[in-house]
Amino acid sequence: MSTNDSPKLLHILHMHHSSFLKSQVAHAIGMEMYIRSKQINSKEDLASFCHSYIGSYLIYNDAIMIKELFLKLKKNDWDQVLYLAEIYNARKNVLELKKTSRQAGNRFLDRLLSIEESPILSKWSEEIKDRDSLNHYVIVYSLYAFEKGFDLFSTIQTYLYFSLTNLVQHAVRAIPLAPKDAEQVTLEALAEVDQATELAMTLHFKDMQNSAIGLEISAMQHKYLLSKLFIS
Amino acid sequence: MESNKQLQARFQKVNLLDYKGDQPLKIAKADQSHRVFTTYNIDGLNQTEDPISIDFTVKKASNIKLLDKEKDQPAQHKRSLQFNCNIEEEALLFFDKREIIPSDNSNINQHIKVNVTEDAEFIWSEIVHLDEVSDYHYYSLMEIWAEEQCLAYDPVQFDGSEEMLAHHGMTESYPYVASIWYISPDPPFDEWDVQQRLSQAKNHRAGMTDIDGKGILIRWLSTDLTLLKQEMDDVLAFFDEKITELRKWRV
Repeated sequence: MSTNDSPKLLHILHMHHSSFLKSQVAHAIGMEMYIRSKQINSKEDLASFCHSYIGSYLIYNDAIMIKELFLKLKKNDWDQVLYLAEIYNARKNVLELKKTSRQAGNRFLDRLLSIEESPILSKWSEEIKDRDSLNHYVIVYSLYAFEKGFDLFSTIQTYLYFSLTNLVQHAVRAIPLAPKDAEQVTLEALAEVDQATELAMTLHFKDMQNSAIGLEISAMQHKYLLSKLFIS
Repeated sequence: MESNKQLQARFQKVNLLDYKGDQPLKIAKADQSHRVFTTYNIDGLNQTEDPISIDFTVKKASNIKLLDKEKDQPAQHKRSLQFNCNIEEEALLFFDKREIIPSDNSNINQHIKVNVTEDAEFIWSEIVHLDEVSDYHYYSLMEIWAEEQCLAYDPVQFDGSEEMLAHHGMTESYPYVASIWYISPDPPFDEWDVQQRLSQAKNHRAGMTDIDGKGILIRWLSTDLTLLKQEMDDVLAFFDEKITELRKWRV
């Protein structure tokens, strides 16, 4: 069943609603240092950051991970699901990003299990009892989306879209930017979200890559700030 | 045609290295003496376009330092390296600063896979030059396991023709990228000791992160190669000092 069906579409959109306590602050942690050093100081700078963030960082990591998890779940290969979670955890080099992603995963998992029966999430919950370091947001999100029958394209597309809007919302307050500038950045990036999703559908595990060294260094430096705009 | 060669090196009588490739890989004990490390020069990694595969075991309680003799040399057009290493308990492998300088139309592909057993330690440092030529492809996967647990899976990729690299968050306009990995269940220093050795000079950025309590990763983006090397040398000398303090009693 496709998310073109209205109830499914609304369901997947609601997964990203702020009422789910989903924290995408992780994405803003790296951006904060750029804003403080005035390297991101305008609409154009923010658009440049969003471009690399969607077109490189997310697509070659999170989007591939969602796709691979769907593939392994379809084959009912639980060992490979665990392997992918292990790799995703190791792939996040910066501890602050890791912790934020896990925190979001824990909140999301707890909330979902408290509101409905989910055999896959219950199994996952059991599995990570002694390895809660693997409980990243993107893993829980993928497991739930697969179980609910959301199609892969929409699962990746909405993930990218809401990551983008979250980032822009944080930037608007921190730079600061006029709301209309933020809307322009978001609207201009929509085509990119679409293209990135199309591309993600053709990528595989071996295509994972890390070119976002600047973002990593910024996230590393964030830990040593005395006062922080964004915390997890 | 690729052939299997076992050999070329025996470290401290027990550490073994298996090498797959036709070109000679040279490993020779260096003249320099050290209270803890036995230092070897490694040569030949950059002399062939054939895939090179190295399986390396650092035996229990050995302290090995490898120095790449070919740094500063532009890479072959096509270079493929598979480096598998198992470091047994109490042992330490220190792979000192490699410099990767892509040449025009080069395709560099390396996979470093390391397993650290129990309290084994691993240090790797590397500088990649991004501005020597505009047409290159560099891919380096650093995969570090502590038996069942994956500590790092870092598939770094730079493509000289990729417009994306210039954007915020990527390598931007920096010509040098450097990394130091230090894997240890109990690093013999405080993170502030390392942090204070990292400068934030203009056009030079450095950051350090803890790897889930199992080590640290330091990353640099810089326009100043001299400053970058100084800073890396300072950090590595500090590691050397701390390692020596601890391990001198064991050898």
